[in-house]
Amino acid sequence: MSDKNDIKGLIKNYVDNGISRRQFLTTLSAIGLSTAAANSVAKEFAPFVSRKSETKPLPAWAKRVSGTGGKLLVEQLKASGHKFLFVNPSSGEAPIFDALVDESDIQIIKSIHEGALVAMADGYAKATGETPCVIISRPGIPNAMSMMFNAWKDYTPMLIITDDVSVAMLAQDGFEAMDHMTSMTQTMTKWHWSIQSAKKIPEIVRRGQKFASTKPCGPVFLATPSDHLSTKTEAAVIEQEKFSIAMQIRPSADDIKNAAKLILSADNPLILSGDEIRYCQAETELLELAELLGVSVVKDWSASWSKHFPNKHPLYYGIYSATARFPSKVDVLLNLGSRMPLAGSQFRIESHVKLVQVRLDAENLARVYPTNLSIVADLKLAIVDLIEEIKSQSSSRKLKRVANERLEQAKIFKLKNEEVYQSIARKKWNNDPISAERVVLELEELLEKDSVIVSDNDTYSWPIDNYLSYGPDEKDFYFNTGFTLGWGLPAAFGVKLALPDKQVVSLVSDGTFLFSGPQPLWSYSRYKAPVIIIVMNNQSYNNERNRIMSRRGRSYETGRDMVCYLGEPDVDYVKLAAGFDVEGEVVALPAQINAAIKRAIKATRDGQPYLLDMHVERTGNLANSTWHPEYSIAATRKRKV
Amino acid sequence: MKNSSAYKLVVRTTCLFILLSAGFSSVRADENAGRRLYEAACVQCHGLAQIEQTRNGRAGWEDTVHKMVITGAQLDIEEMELVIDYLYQQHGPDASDPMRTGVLPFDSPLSKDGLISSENIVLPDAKGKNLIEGYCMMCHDLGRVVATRRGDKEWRGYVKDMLRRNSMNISDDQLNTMVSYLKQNFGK
Ligand SMILES: Cc1ncc(C[n+]2csc(CCOP(=O)(O)OP(=O)(O)O)c2C)c(N)n1
Ligand SMILES: [Mg+2]
Repeated sequence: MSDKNDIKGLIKNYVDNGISRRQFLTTLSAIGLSTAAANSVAKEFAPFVSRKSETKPLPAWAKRVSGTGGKLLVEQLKASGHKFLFVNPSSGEAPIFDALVDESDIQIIKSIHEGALVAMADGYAKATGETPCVIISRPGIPNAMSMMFNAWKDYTPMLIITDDVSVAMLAQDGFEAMDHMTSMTQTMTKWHWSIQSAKKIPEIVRRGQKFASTKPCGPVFLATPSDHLSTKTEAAVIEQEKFSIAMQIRPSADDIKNAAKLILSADNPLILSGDEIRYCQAETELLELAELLGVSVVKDWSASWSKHFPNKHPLYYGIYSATARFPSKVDVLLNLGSRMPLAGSQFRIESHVKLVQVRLDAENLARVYPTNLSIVADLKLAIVDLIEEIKSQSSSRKLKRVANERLEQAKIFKLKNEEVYQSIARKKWNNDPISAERVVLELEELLEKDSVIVSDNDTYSWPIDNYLSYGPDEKDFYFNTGFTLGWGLPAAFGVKLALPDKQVVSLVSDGTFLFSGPQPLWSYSRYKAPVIIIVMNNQSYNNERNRIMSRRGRSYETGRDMVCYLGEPDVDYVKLAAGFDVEGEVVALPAQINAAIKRAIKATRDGQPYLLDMHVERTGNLANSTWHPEYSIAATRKRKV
Repeated sequence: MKNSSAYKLVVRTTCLFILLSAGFSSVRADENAGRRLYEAACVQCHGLAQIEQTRNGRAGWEDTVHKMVITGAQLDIEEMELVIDYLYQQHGPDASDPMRTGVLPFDSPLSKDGLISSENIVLPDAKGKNLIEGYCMMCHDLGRVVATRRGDKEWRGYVKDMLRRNSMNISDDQLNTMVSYLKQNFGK
């Protein structure tokens, strides 16, 4: 005979209408009650059984679903707009996969490492604006967290779901379990929650998605004890739209008046723009504002993963610096949706500069820098209003005159800037090992005009920034601002999944590639993702070495690169790719670059990923060093075992 | 004669002459312009101490300045050349204070008999010693040479790169002599 708790649970299920009267009777008989006894129990509880659902019709945007918790989860994800599930499975999640067997609207995308999975979802989210859902196992949480950090820093909307131990095993320090598992993710999630019953699954998933996708967005982590996934019940599944908030916050008219006044009274205003321009799809408006005033646009070196202003435009000139020679003596800095430059104990802004900031993220607005005018708003609306207000406060003739003057100056600067870049690239054109500048210029020539670069680089971030053309009719670009390496290869997969009709290039340095490992190639191969993968292989943590050497410590004095050399073993990336059935080739000489890129383009046109192991030069201090502190475990042995 | 200090002097003077003639050809009239540009462009992102502790040939400084311009130093082509010239003049080979190594690491090839300071280094006598002293010490003390055992290919890479950075052409014979000296005494 079953224990008391089983019967109690069964009765509760009956009363809450989770199971039918017939099921109730069958189960009672199965646990040993006679038919008569079972009938009498059923009769006794009949008055408490909740009224049949059909009696309360639901509106069109909701439907009642019955089935396992796994089925409810899948149904809610569908109602929340998910076409893909990014999965690395655990057996406790079986009911989810069972529910997917008969589901034609959702495609599983599997990765063999959870960090890669989250980076794939991150790339996908950035390219679509959607909120992807990642399903992982409990012990996979720490792996996933590596790339959740990047997603958190970039405000990427994302649901991450796992199964916990069963309710009975909670708080027992059980198998692959720990207390307060969801709170592990607390510092890099907008919300984390442990689901308390099967019935609550759709509701909590909706709530998680609402939190994740409400700007400023971010990851949300949900766990559900595994038994909730297999429990059969019934719950309402509701369209996500009913819980979405557009966050189209319009700035106050007064704030816009004051901002316009400050900007118009400035001799040398400057715009610092950031990724919130991309989140609010305000690229066109930013360009219009910059051109209206002839104001130059810069970005902070570490605070941006998107290109939201055309980089070959005369008004764009790269990285912000407080004391830049051009444009001289900035007096008003207008931050449109960017993190401010890293400060520490010193603000990277001169004391006379008036700072106006418009951001979506109220928490990070005026967080560090004393700000003259702080505005929380949707960037698109704020810029549209600002443009109108500027036009109304000034005559169009005056605006044109000032804008033209500034633009002419900017053109001179930009031209010189382009000349200097080209002259440097020319000098390095035949460098052997290959210069990054040459690789990037060859790509500029050979790639589709509107190709998409997914970059995860350190040393070569700058050439990739400077030599390729980005803009609304040009290339697009994805990166991250968390700098947790290992993102680039999987993220490019996610971008290609989102944009199958774009030519996608994954440009990753060797250190970065090795952080993700080749594991993402498994997904490239399985799902036939035709991406050009270029490993910028300098056998070093090149920039890291230069940063270490720039301290001029003992490593520098003695010429000892203690930690950054990556050769010995000389990793064979083509072989790694071959292990996953991905084709590739080594590019060892500058003269080979062009033809190799063409072969990669051809392979991707034919539907295959293709990897180029590009042997590029190390640069800077100790570039020639291959020395490293040696140690042989084999040599320490006293027994040859 | 080969091991004498007169020979050493000849090598060093010849090297210097080659270096200076290569570098000075592009020096502009206004020498202060280079300094002003250097001070304005470089401090936008970092302090100057790390530059001032470095010695490099003109081509070496060119590498550095190119890298900095790509990473955001605001200089046009002409200005870039002025800054390279300035750095080369101020921090070129044989600048007043070559880079110092200090005490050699415990496992350097010359530290067998206890720790020694790079100032007290006496190179083992062998063919090539004078070339090493003549060329290498233009930018740094001998500590950097003897601090670390390196493989053949690595030494060759080092020597070739040092010569390239100083725009120096030497005969293959001389190059091989230097490399085999380094291999023999400080190889792996
Ligand atoms: C996951 C992770 N671990 C460590 C670091 C610290 N780190 C910053 S740059 C770098 C080396 C990068 O080397 P590579 O990707 O090869 O770039 P490059 O050689 O072009 O400079 C490391 C280890 C990091 N950012 N992320
Ligand atoms: Mg590298």
